[in-house]
Amino acid sequence: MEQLTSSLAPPRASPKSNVASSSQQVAGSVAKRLSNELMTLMMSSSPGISAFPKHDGNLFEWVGTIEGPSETIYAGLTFKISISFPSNYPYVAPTIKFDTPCYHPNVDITGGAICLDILQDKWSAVYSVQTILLSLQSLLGEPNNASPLNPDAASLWSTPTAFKTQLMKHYRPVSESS
Amino acid sequence: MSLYNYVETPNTNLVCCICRAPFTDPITTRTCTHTFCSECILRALTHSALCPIDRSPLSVNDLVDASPIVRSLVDELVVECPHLSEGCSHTSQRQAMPLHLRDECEYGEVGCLVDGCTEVMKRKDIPAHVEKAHADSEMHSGEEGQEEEGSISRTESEEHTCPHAGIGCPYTGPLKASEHLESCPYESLKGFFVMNTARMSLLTEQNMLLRHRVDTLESTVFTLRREMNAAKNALGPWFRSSYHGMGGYSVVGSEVAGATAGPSESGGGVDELSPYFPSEEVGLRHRASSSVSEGMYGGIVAPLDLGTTLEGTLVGLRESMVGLAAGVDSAGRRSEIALANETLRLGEEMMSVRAQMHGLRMQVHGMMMDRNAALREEGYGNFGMAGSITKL
Repeated sequence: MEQLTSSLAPPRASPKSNVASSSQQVAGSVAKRLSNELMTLMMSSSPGISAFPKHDGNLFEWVGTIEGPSETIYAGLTFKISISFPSNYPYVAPTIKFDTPCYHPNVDITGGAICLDILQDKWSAVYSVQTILLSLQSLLGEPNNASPLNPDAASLWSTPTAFKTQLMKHYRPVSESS
Repeated sequence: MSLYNYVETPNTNLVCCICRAPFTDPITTRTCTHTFCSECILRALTHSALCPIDRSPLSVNDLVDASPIVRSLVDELVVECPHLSEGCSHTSQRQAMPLHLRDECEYGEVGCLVDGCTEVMKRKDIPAHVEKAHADSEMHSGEEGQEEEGSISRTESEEHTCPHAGIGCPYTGPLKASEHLESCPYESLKGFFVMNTARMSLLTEQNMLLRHRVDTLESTVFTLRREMNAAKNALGPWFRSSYHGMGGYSVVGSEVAGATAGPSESGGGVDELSPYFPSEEVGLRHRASSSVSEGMYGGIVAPLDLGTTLEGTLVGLRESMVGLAAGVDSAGRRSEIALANETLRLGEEMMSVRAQMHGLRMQVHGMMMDRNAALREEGYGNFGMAGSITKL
């Protein structure tokens, strides 16, 4: 601990100005990280996922889309999700929900809430929008039926045809819902 | 979590995976050797006591400063001046940027140089500010003085003070400022005071710079001392003996006289600086070196070569150990062979002796048979005699 404080000490030449601008600086650093993530996401061109800030000038609210992975029951469907970042991101997970109704064992069909461990207690500061979207995409094909948020969907999962009917009954294409 | 913009895209190995920017004051975990900015990992630990990368348990005590190489790599990244948008196109290594902001940048925030003024503004605005705000500040203070005096003698309404009251002119009286100035001694010294103020501010600035450098140096010295202590602990007794390598050896030669001379000789370099720092180890070192010179290398055991490094000596010792082991081994084998030879020879001798014995016994047996036969023949004639012979 002694080592820590001593190494932290030198850069604080002017503690007064630091304290005054610290809250501003924290907000700045979150914005900086979010713009960095946006850039990474746009450069990486991951297939089937995308995300972008909802409004210009507010980096804390994003919308994203996830395409159902091929060879799963969700193939060919596109889901819209909304991502809301807290001010202490990335130390605390962002709030994510499906805007498109998604019939899935781990998704609340009305509210769109998602039951995924890395969005709750397993969250780590090194996760990013990209890793979340990829996790959600794979969650579509491989639900965790042990702890369902939608018990009907969980029980129907073993009978794909019935599941597909339910899924299509609730699903609305992205353009319509937006 | 610095907010600098980096001129080039930084190497991804130098990027903190929490803030996604090159490390600021990097810290490495002792348990899983992941590196983060100190601020990032300390904040992450307040949310959960796990390593953000591999979820292994982690506490503040497991954090150590990252390797100096990593520190230098990130400190030397070239960054843009944060005031780029306002027009400062300066770029420099990251570690030099705070200095640029404080001492050079036209857009850096600095306090007004005039004593007592607490205003903070951009450096480029200072001359205008000084001219504007402090040209009449003397007037201002004059007025204040006037007000105070006014409370004492409120009846005399026409009371003026000199514009130079701020630098010491005690004049108060009925003359207007312009009239008084003609005779004011401070008026002629005005230029000197302006120059003096400028020099004062320059010196203050230099003083700040020097203080910063002293701070940096002090922290460096502290770090070095800590590393030195760590090295000393790791080396144990070898540290002192190799440190006093030259002095210590001359001591072995000239026993008693050298014992006192040794430490002072070799300690000379340290003593020069020691008045500036608390001298906790000096005494210890003196004691240790004298004990080394008197006791350990006295005579019975051949002295180790203290001139070489610890590693070299260890290698030498190991080699001689191997040599000794080989010698013992060959000696054992040789004696074994000798023993076997001797045994063989003795066995043969035994065999021959046994054969000879056998021959002799056969001869004796033959002789006895003959004798018995002869006696038996005689016995028929003389029984008593035979009895006496057998008795024999």
